[in-house]
Amino acid sequence: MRKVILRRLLQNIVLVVVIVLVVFILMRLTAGDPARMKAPVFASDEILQSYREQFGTDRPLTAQLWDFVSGIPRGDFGTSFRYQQPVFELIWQRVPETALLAFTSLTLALLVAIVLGVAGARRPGSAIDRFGIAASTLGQSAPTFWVALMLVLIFSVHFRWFPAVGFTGWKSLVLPSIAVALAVFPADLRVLRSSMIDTFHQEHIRTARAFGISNRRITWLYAFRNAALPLITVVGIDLGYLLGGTIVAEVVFNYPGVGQLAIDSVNARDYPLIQAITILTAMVFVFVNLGIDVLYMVLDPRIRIEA
Amino acid sequence: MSEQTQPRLAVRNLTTVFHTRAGRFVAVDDISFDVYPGECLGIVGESGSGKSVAALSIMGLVDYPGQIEAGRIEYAGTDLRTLSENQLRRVRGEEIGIIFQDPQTSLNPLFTVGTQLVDVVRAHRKISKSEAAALAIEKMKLVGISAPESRMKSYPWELSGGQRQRIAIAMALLLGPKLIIADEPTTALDVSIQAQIVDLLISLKNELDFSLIFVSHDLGVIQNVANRVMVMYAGRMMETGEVGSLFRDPYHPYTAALLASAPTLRTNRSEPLQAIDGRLPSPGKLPPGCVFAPRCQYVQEDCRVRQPLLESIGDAGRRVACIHPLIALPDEVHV
Repeated sequence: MRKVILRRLLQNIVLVVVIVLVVFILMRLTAGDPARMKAPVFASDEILQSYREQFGTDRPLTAQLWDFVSGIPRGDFGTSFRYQQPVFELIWQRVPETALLAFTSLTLALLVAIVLGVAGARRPGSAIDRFGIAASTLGQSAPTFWVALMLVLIFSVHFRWFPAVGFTGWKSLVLPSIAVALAVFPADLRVLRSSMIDTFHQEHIRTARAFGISNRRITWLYAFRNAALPLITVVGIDLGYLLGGTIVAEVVFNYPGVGQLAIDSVNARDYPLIQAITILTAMVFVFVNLGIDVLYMVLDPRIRIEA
Repeated sequence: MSEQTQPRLAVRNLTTVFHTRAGRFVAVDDISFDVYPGECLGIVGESGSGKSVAALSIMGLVDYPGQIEAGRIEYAGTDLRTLSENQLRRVRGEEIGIIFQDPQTSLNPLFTVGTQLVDVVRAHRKISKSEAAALAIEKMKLVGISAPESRMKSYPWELSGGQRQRIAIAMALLLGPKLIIADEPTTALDVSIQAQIVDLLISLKNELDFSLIFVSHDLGVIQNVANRVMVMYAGRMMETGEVGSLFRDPYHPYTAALLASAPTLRTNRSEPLQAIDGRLPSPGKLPPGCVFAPRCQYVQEDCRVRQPLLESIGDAGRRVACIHPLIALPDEVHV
């Protein structure tokens, strides 16, 4: 088991390095000159040139790549073109807010998916089951930016329960979390519901019933543990939606997180900032999925043995 | 079995149906039987004859869309059908144990043998985990599992088929039930293991004095285990009686055909086996008269019209559902 994890860890490091290189090259292939973004509209060529020299974008690609790569081991991810601050600092200030938003969204999504998914699987076709399916269809088809705007309209503008923008405490977390969770929970719910229904039809569940194990224990221990395996795979995939969803929600709610920063940095062609955010996101994605594989081994002894 | 003893289980007019989109299928049709203390009742029939559904119905384990439509299932004087889900839960495992066909799928793959056994004990008794584990180990020894302490930590898929089925039997014995239902307990096993499991069940039954319902399509196995036997076909009971006399002199043409089609060690291997022509009628399209009439080699005109009732014929306890049974009655001559 330890060997497998170690191997996966090495694979993941290689993967992150490849992602970093691709982003580095891709950024420089896209149209737009960071110097022009920074400078006033009708700036002279001298001013543009001075910016290019400051940013280092006048130098050959290989030299730029070397600067970038050689900085990483020292924890130097470069200086933001736009903010003139080390990018690491810029991002680090905003990580807690985004992590908080992602965490509450995922928790909310899982809570809804588990409650509705299990209840629906216990009685397929019942009112609660149909409600769960209808809600997940709605969540899947409504785009996050629209849901976010509707939430603002209803709960901030009309009822004035929650702030519409910014971050001023837990209340600022409510609407963005709901907006993101609504996009994330449908996949969880569908997968959990169907794997739970499958599990309920398995013979070992009939055995548990035949030996007088209580329904609650059968559902939440015997069946859920079997059905949770596909669910945690989907949670790994969710993470992609979660990262994308938080960007949208952060922009709509003007929430001061990494997502906002990402959008700003792309608009400004702020290469160092984009690169650093990409590395961070890739690492989160890759390592959470590694964690999920470990969880898989913990939950299913058969996988543990094969590994 | 003396006539005076009360049956431990008395099933009356049990009818179990499945409601599907294609219609209503009667899987078990108006079946009555008794199981007496310490005896083994064998239920035989082809696949799809309703024998397993009948056995599962006793414990209320028929899953949706199956449903017990009528009948009484009296266990120790109580009709199990009138019990609440929670009352029934207490009967399951405690009063009536069950052994399923395939221990590979009937045990949960994610939990150790020990966890599953302990959980069953603690679903019924308020005792500590270590006390429950001690009980589990005791039963594992009883079913002949070597090094039961270390087997407790094994997952079901780490064990061989025979060991798994022994664990399943230990689980059925855990709380000392008075009745054990074995639903094709040897079908999924290697032939060499089958004999061991059958012998184990017989010796356990004699030692612990529980009643056993043994469901199987294997006539040889039934002949070894059962005291009385019940032959099912298309959801109906065809014939029932003491195992010795029924196997020696089957009165129902279906029983006779079934016996003739089963190979034994004395079967002449140069001759082809006598198969029963045709197929089991689909439950949606049962023939109007005797359900076996389309395949019966002794069929007569009235068989196709009139549904035979189960009637006592011949020796004690023998009942046959046939208008023209294979017995020479004094005033009738049969082919």
